[in-house]
Amino acid sequence: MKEPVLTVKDLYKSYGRVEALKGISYSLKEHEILAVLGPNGAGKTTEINCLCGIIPFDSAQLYYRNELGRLPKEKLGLCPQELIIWKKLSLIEQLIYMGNLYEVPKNISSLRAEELLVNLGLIDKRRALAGSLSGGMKRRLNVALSLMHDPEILILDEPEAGLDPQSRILLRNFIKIQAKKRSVILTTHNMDEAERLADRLILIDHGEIIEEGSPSYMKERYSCSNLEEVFIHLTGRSLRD
Amino acid sequence: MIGKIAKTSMKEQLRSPVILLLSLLTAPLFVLIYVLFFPSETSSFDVAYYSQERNQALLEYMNNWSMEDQTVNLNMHWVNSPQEGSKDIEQGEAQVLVIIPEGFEDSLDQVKSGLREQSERVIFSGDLSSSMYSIAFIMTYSSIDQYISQRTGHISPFAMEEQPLGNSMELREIDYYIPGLMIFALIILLFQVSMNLSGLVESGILKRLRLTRATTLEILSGYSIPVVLIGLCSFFLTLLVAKLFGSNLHGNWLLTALVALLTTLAITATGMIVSAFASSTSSAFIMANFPLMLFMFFSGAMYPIKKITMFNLGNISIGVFDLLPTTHGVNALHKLLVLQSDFSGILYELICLTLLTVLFLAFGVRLYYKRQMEIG
Repeated sequence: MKEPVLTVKDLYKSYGRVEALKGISYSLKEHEILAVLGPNGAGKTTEINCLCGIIPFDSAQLYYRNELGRLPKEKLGLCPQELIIWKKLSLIEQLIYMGNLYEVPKNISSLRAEELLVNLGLIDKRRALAGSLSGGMKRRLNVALSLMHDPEILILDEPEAGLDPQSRILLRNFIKIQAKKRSVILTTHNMDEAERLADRLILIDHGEIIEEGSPSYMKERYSCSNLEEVFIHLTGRSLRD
Repeated sequence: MIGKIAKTSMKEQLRSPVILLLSLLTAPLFVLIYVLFFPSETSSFDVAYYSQERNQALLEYMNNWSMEDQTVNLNMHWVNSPQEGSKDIEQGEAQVLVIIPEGFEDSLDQVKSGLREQSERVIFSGDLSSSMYSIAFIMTYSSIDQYISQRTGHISPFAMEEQPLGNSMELREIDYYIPGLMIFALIILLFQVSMNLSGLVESGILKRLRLTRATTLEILSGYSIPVVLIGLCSFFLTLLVAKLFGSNLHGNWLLTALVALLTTLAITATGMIVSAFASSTSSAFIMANFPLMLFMFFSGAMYPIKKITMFNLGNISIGVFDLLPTTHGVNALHKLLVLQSDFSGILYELICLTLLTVLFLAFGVRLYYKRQMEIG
């Protein structure tokens, strides 16, 4: 039985009268890839931002390895949905800088940066300024930046948005490799991505978890041939924006 | 941590050379503009001269007249009628028109022999709203007064001696404005600080930084240090350009640097306050204009400004504009570089500047944290 790295209990968050999260509870096991699915505005990004301490939550019990309290910053690696890179720094410079900000020793930082650039297909651009990269390269750099401090939990918010098929394949393989070293939380709209990567799925709608389980369990339970059908079955066809 | 953030921020600044150069060179450029306003060491005033009797003696005397220190002289030219003289003033060819009345020389002879007390009435004409007229009038009046004294042998009963403060005797008019321009070099940093810090929010970098171990103070200090350094470079570059154009300003450079540093910190803090309310660089740019205008025009940086007293604290009068740290920066620099004051001479300005800087910094850091960084 795998040990839970992270346990979230009764996570509540409101924006004024709007209840964005209505008591989310789940746990993340070691080396598990957990996909958080949901329509636009369901509360996926809010939930992640609460976990990482970017926005305050109203109430929750957060456990890191069964220890109650705020999650240690250095244990979490967030790759945000938006591209957050230093356009005027080269790839290697910003990766090492990121390591510095987490107080990673310089020799380890250099090695780790090189390794990430190789694994994400960016090594040829190591000295290029990030502003000059293509959209796909920037997105891969965005992922690399979240791993410089070797976090135990990697949180990827829509990592495949805007990627071409080649980059998507590279990134999926990369995420699978990462799961051998750490646990991964992945938010996505891409059912194909979730089905191929996730060990377990959480489906959030209107700030609540409406279903949880492995991709095969979900398909079987709702007698659907793919996850998209499950998704539509559970969340309906109406637009949420 | 602060050093690492500052180093990286500096690297980014250096990779935007156009913005860096503009930040460094704006204030020195203003020195050049002021040099064009006050082009020479000697001020010369153009005087239109009308005398129906064609009084050549007085004209020559005025033409050859100059102040004792040789810094001011008069450039005389004949006009054929008062109307022609007025036209010269309208067209900027003269600052003052002097109309010498008929019988002026005879009246001087009569004054000399005691037959009358005053000469015939000399008329001065010009644009009374112009400061140039006021100065030209005084110079023209002085020259005619000296001519009359010499001509009649009546020496003025008023004896006087001019004693310059500090090294103001060695300075030119433009030097009076240089300390203000040096502070202006720091004031324009307001754009850079507020836009840099708002840029952190807009680009999401602040979000990434907040995920790391860096604290609010470390982030703000790290991003402020390069701007402070750029400000100090621009400050001394302004002085250097002024010196290259012949400025004689000198004083205690250590105290000058201290005043510059404190003023830069106060400007940086103001930038933090602006960026606390701005969510993008463009809104920061627009919002920064308001404090910039206050600092530029109400602290005496661009032009000397009259003190408006709010209240008295003992024997010190506190003015409305004393609430601006830049007011004390300008005053301290003027005292240091023009009036040759020492530490005790600028103690009041240093105390005020330090207090206001600490207050602005505390407020700026707190406000930026509350509005842009606070988490639950």
